[in-house]
Amino acid sequence: MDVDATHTTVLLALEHQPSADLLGDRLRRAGLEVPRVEDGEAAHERIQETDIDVVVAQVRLPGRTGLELLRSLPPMCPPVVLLGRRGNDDEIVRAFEMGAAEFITRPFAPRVAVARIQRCLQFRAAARPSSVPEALSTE
Amino acid sequence: MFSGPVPFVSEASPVLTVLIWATLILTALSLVFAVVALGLHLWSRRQARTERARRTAWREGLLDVLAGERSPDAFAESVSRAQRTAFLSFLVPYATTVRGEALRQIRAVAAPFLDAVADTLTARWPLVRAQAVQRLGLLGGDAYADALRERLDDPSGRVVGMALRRLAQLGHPEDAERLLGVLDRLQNMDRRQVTSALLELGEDAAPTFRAALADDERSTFVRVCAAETLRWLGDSDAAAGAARLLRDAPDASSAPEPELVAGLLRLIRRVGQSRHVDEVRPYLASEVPFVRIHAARALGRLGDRAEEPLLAALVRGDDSRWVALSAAKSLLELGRPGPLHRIRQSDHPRAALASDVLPAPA
Repeated sequence: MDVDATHTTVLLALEHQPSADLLGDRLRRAGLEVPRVEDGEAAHERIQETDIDVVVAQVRLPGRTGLELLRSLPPMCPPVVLLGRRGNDDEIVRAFEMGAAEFITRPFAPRVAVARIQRCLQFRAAARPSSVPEALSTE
Repeated sequence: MFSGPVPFVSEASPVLTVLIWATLILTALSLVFAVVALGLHLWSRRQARTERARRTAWREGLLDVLAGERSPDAFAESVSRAQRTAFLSFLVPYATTVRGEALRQIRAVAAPFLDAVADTLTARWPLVRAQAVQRLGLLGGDAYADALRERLDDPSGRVVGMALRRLAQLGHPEDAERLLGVLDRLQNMDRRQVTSALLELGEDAAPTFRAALADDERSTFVRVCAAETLRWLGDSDAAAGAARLLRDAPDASSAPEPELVAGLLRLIRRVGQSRHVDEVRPYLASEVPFVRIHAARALGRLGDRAEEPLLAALVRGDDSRWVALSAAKSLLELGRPGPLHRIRQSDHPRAALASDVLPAPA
């Protein structure tokens, strides 16, 4: 598969600093571009203005929550991975009903969380066969 | 007119001399204060810059450890012992964010600093002891489990609450009875926090929670916490016990422990079966509105078309709008929207409520 990691972008819409550090670092080490915004409005603008491959959004995001962000995106938008706290099954079900591609609960194992994001990138790459980074291709 | 320079000071009155000296001294003091304030401002900015730089270096070091590019020991050695407290504070939010191997690595980084924290478990101030419990539980893990168990006897409720949460997070089901034993001291703690902590003990602790729920020697608070934990665990074996407690309650209409009854109804809604509706139905007539709400919701999940008249009667006639709303939702859940359509089309006072609940016409 074509290797061009610098053209693969994962937008982190995360207010929670440790989550952003942990996920952002792993994704950057895999060669991805990982811009970060800290509120839902900024995330919405960024998705509309730039070419984003996957969005990782916190459920409890200021400005526009992760679920509101998901609802506001058109059907051809990038897949959205939501990050929420463990123990709220209703929220997880609602997220999937609204079209979330994945749901990661906190606390998470960074390796597993990145594997879930990786899966979304692969689906995205399959739907739009331009590029997927070698580091994220199936081992 | 003036004929030459005025011998200003020497000929001035003593009062004027005092005023001049006072002005000079105050001006000098103002200058000194301004210089001190400026110095302090620059010093605090420098401190903040140093702190930011230190945290950035720690963050990079920690991320290198988690990526396997640096050993936890080497990273820990790079941190000055004088910065121990700030460093552990820095690690805590990361430790609450991850689990598995990443958490083990963070704990390995923290390990060399924790014995000093353990020394503060018996400090004079409850806040210091609570902080020690939090750090040892999060960053020490099982190595400090016994120290945390001892803190369940702490004279401060704050420390006991923290010890309960951190011990529960370690996930040893054999701690369930010990943790239930201190709950009565924590009645000012949010019940959801308690339940969320007990949930960490997992399914293997369910028999202990079932026994606590059935034990009428226990306080209502403990029994409700047990019921809520069983509900979140989805423990189907708890259904029979909950049904028995509902059946054996002295008087459904004026249950003496409405919070417990509501907890049982929530539990049975989650894990019960259709055969339990007979135990639920009498609580539709409870004097306590929130008991009627939970009874109506339980019937929506467990009942069938036979419940339609009872629920429809609640929608039409219950004094509480919230009970009527719950009954309406349960009618929909049972797939019996007929009464709601009829109410919506009438001039009944609950027509708007029925309209809100029913899906909008296509």
